[in-house]
Amino acid sequence: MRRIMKRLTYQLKNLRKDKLCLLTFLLPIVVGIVINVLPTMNTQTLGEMSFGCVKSDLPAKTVRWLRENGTLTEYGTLGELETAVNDPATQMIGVLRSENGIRTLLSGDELKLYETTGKTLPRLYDNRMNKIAFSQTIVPIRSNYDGLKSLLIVITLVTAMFMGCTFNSMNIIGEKEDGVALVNQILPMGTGDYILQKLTLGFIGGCASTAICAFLCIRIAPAQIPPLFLLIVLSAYTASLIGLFIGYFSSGLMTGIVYIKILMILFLAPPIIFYLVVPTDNVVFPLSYLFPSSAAFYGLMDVLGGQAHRPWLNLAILAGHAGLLSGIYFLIMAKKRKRQ
Amino acid sequence: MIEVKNLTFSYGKEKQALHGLDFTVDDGEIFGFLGPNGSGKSTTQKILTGILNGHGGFVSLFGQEVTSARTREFFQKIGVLFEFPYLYTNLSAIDNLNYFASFYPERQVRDVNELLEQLEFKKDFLKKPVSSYSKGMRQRVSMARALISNPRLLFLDEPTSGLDPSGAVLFRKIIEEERRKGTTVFLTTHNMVDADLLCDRVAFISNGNIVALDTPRKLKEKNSSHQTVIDYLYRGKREEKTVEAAELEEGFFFPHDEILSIHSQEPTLEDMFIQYTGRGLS
Amino acid sequence: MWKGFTHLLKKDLKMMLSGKFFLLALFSLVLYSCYINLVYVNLEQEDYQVYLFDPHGASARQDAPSGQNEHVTDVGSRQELENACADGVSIGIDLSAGTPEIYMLSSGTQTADHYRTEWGKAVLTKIMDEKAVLSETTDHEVEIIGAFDKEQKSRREITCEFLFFELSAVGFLGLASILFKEKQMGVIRVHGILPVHKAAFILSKLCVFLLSDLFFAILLTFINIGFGEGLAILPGILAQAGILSLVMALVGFLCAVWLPDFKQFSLFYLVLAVFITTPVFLAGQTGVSWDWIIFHPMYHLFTAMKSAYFGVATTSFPFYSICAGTTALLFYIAYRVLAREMTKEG
Repeated sequence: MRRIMKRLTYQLKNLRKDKLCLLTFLLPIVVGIVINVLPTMNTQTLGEMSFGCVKSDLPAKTVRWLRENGTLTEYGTLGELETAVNDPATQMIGVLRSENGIRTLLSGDELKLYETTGKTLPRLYDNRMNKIAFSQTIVPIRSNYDGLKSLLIVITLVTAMFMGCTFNSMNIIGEKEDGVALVNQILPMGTGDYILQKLTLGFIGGCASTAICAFLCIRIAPAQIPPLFLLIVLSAYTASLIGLFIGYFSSGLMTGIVYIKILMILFLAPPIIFYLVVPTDNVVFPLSYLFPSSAAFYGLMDVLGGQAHRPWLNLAILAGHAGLLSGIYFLIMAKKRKRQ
Repeated sequence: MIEVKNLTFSYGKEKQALHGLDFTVDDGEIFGFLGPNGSGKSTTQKILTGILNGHGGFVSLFGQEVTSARTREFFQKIGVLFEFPYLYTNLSAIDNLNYFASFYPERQVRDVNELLEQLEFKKDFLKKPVSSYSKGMRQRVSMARALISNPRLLFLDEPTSGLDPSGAVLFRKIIEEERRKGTTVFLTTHNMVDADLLCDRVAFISNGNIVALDTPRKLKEKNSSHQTVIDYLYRGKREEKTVEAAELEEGFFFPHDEILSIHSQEPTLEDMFIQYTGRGLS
Repeated sequence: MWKGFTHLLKKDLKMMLSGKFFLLALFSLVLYSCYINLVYVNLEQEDYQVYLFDPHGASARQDAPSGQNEHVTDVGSRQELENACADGVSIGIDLSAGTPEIYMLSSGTQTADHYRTEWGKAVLTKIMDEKAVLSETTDHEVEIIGAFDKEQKSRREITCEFLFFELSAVGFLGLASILFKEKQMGVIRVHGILPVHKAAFILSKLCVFLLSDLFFAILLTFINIGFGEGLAILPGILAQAGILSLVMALVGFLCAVWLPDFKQFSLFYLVLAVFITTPVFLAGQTGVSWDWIIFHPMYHLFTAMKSAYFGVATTSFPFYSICAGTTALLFYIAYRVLAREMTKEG
């Protein structure tokens, strides 16, 4: 054990001097700090309805009502409002005064929720005065995070988790480039020892980077710590396994970097897009679980959202990915040994 | 120590690299394996060290067939110096050697500092990263890596490559010391001086076949022209005379004022190399 | 001196074709197109789901015509209702007690919760009073002013983003990888003593990558927007793709010559990818507004590209002047850096 630790220490020392690994390690931490201190960021826009109106067109009570229900941006002219409504990056609904109340402007390219909102808004506005008797219970979210901030934190944490693959893949590729891979073949070291060493490298890197980042960005209830811990551990293990694959299949540094780049796109883009756009009950949604990062992403969102009971499904999916990838890697190694 | 019978190997279906090699290497022997580029030297060494598999014929090391011998114990008994100095470039010489040493039983491992001192490694660089070393310094660290485990069988591929003449002399001295300790050395080289000075026996390999195998002396004798050339002065003029061995045995006289030099005309190992392999040194 | 340009061009073309980046571009094209056509265009954000717990049959809903209540789902217990609302989006209505209760899990945003309450109230009005609040408004109350439907918009938006990403990140990497190969082989030094103008060395690389990027843009546009619609907006797209390609290729060239090895270059690349393209992507994709984003040069290139995809040509003279000036400046710096590198290596 002492000797294994000694070897690992030298491997970590080697990685510590690798600028790419160092940057990979520090980058999520720096981004985490930036997220915490960036004051100019408008972090209250996700999940809200976005309304636009022409300045001085709407009565004060309408403006107030709209502001109660979403963000309201005022434009100088109707043309400016129309441009904003037509901006494909937004789902803005234009609101104008009409004889009986309000009328709306839609671009026609909105997602269904916003389209329905645009089409029913005048009726909802009329209904505001309806004195129907009802009581209301809004269960507060057990989280200190608003939509965009938690999204950015989770993106950073998932990046840190899956960037763990950089540590061991760069180590393996570096060994290939420096020729140490050839030396490894004549060392009294079993395949198991080798896999364990490389797996631990990626795991330590991914875990440490994510843990520091989480420490900087997240303040959660003690009940959320176990699922967060398990999410970090499982994701770092999965990332480390992916690092082994990248190291195995990369012929050189350039190829390795390209593989990591593709992987990061594949691992980061789908969960973000699915999270933002696809409701969880949509039939397409489970497709995102094809990527292990999605389970980590949704799990972290749940942890940040204070929903301690939900991460377990994501943890199970993540564990499934880890098991499957482990199996594939060991199969490849067994096949390689057999071929030899 | 090493026994090779009818060793064949091919890269793919049509690229036969070795065509049935036969040789043995005795305990404590320095065996030179010489051949031009692409002749099959590295392939043979890779098979012997267990890096390359899928060969035909019989290869045994330490009395055990190489395919079944590829165990942790097997690798503990061998040391390999590759053609290029393969090291972790971010780590220092000390760190590299300590790391590689950690794979061997502690009782077997040599002292890193002593070893580097023996290899005349510059002390200022001991803790600097390998990336800042010259080729000669890297080669010294590589040699130290090969020797760190006190191997019983040492594979050396171009050991003096990248070294200045004094470094080459030092390396030869170290290899001689290893022989004295009883280490068997399998030396792959292009350097005919190394082979001539160090090897008990040499094998010339060409196109995957061993074309000659003997002691350097015997190889040279076998191909000697049995002539001597004498440079001399006679009546103020420089002249040259070739004398057959038989003439020398009988004793002979020739008119001369002063003998300037006598050349035995024995072929060098390099001449043998060219003669057997049909190619010059590259 | 310029006679050697065609030879340089041929050589660079061969190097690009023999490299893996050509395959990578092909792979990206297939991947992006599959994602757009199979996933992205099908993405939808459905209306709020309303869950009703009505154990005593208090609602008048049984007799109500279907239509506006299509999002109301009956649940059997309070627990079921709470579980259904745990997503922070759905709305629950509990009619088990005397006074109806609107129940929901906060979405984390006060205004969104308020709007959901309004929605729940409208559904409750329908349930209790049979007043169809959520029936769609008449034509004069809602006006559609856009030229595209959701699918057209989705296709244009995401195709634009993929092209932007491909040109700014991958194209940059492609040129640098070729240059690093030449650097490693030492042939940059050889070019220093060849009778070829140094500018030709840069220009040939720019031409090759510009052509490949434009080709990529054409294919990506036609595959994902369609031939007819794609053709109409192609000139604008090619203009913006050309500008972006040139700028990024020159930046890639500069970095590749400047930085000593590919590893350092990849560090720079990582920083570029994270800090430069991510804010642009977030601003473009989510509509998040940052005041400082207008100082981000890539944001303007992205906006111009997006406008081109939506058929609005960027005609701003300052924009094109700045682009031309930047390209010229980058070319000049690249020329100087290359000259220094050749001298240094020579």
